Amino acid sequence: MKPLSRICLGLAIFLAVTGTVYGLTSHEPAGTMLLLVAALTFLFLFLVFRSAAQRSPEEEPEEEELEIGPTIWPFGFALSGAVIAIGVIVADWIVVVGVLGFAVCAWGWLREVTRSHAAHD
Amino acid sequence: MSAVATPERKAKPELSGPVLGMVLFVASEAMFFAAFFAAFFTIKDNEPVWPPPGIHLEDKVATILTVILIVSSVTVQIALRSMRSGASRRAKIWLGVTIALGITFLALQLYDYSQLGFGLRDGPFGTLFYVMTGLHMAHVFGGVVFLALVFSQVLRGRLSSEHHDPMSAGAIYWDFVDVVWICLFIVFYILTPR
Repeated sequence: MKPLSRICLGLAIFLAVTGTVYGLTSHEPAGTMLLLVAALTFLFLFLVFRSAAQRSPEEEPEEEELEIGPTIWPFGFALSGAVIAIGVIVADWIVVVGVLGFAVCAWGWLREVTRSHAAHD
Repeated sequence: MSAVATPERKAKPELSGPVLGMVLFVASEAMFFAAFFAAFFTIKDNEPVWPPPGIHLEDKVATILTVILIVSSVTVQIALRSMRSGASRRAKIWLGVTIALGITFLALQLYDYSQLGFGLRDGPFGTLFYVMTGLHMAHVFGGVVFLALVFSQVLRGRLSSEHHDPMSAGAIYWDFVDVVWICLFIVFYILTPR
C-alpha cells in the first residue's frame, strides 16, 4: 500500500500543478476543473491508501481472499447505462428499458456476489 | 467469540475488497460528475445571460435538502463507529435514521422539482439542472438501496465489530453523495445569480 499511496500523492501534486498552470494560462474552465478534480481524487486515494498502510503491520501473513469469478453482470450494467443515456436523447420508452435492464443487472450481480460470499463463509 | 485478540491482530492488514472497490468506484464517479460540472461552466461562459430570463431557483427547499444530507452523513458515521465498537443496536438505529433521511431527501427533491417553473427541455440551464441534480438523485436512490441492504445484514446479525466492510463501503459512498450535493448546491444556488 505504501508505494501505491506515494504514486497517488505524486499524481495528485502533478495534476494540481498542471491544473493550476493550465487554468491561469488558458482561462478555460472545463479542462481546469477536470485536472483539479482529478488531483483531488488522487489526493483522496492517497489518504485512503496511506491510512491503510499505517494500519497494516509490516509482515502480515497473506489472508485467504474471496475469489469472485468472471461475470457478465458488469457488462450488462454498463450496457443498461448506455441504453438509459441513449433513451434520454431519443425516446422515453428506451429509458424505461434501460432502467429495467439496470435493475435486473444490479439484482443479478448482487445475487452472484452474495452467493460467492456464502460459499466462502 | 474471541476476546483475546491483540490490537495488532484486530487491525486489518490491508484495505478489504469491498472498501477498496468502493474507494475506486467513488474516485471514478468523482470524475463522472466533474465532466458535468466542466460542461456546466463551459456552457455558462458561452451564454450571454446566465441563467436565462424567466428561470428562477428558490433556495429554501435546497437549503433544507443540504442540511438533511449533511446530517445524514453524520448519522451514517455514528452508525459506523457504533458498529466498530460493537454496539450493533445503536448502529441499527443510526443506520435506520440515515435511510429515513435519504428517503426524505428524495421525496423533498421530487417536491422541489414539481415547484420549479422550468423543465428539462427549457434551454441549456434547464437541461443541465435536471440532468445534474437528477443524476445525483439517482445516486442518492442507489445509496438508500445500498444502505437498506446493509441494514438488513445488521438486522440478521451478519455484521460485527470485526466484519463491517459493507457498512464502511456504504458510509464512503454516502459521504461522496453528500459532497456532490454540496458542490451542486454551491453551483446552482450560490454561484448562479438570482
